[in-house]
Amino acid sequence: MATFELYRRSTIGMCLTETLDEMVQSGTLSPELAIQVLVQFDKSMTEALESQVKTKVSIKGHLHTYRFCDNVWTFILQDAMFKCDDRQENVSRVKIVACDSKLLTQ
Amino acid sequence: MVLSTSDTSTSYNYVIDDVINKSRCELVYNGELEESVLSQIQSKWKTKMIQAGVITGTIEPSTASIPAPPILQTTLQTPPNAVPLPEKMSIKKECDEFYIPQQDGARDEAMVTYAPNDENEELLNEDDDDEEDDMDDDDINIPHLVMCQFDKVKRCKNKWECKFNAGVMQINGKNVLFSQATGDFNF
Repeated sequence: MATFELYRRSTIGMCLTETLDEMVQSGTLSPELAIQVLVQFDKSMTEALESQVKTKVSIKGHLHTYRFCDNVWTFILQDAMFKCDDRQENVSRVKIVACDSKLLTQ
Repeated sequence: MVLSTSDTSTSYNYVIDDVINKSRCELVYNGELEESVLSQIQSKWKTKMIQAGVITGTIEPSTASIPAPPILQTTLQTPPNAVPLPEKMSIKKECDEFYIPQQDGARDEAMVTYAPNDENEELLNEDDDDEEDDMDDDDINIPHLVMCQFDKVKRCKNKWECKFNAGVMQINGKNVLFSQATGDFNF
């Protein structure tokens, strides 16, 4: 099964990476096993986002920078507005990193 | 709270349990990993998540996190956009490289055309450099981040239409997950 390492940069991914780092540092865990756990996280996170989450969001904003490299789109938006139902968040600058969803179904 | 983060806490707990359960099936049952080490991963991970404020729960005192240098982070983490990107390169350098073969081929002619072209390129360089300085798109400088997958990215003139799915939004200090998102951007 193909997975993305994309979500490792999220808070949950960073918390796991830090945990594994510390345990490898202290000799509790081998780096090989740490990587296997991290790969399991990639799978579980992708699965959870597909099966557990139902939220729909609308994103609007001024596109400051766009880039497509190695099947990854990166957008930097200015004055972005995130809407979900009638709730809303505004940010002056946000970065969107998006992998090609087709790569997972191949 | 504007966007709901309680669902995020539920989903994150689901992910933690799923990773631990599947690691148990794959690594503990075949003897590669000790159950005690696995539960240590689980409790340390949860503690960090509670401290980060993304899940709710109680912190076990024995598992309070001790900051350690994140040495593995560099080797384990390979962000998809970590590849040095072409636009990061100096345009001046590209131009120089571009013109060198021309000069080799037809030196006299190239000398004639080189000067005006070079002036044009200099102007472009200045503009681009300014924008590069403004942009500075390091994660540190842009605390708001969305990680997701794209189904469709379409551009018509300066209007961009995107369809995203399976996303994690970290905006205004909140973690919000989405199954689908539409993006309407003006360039």
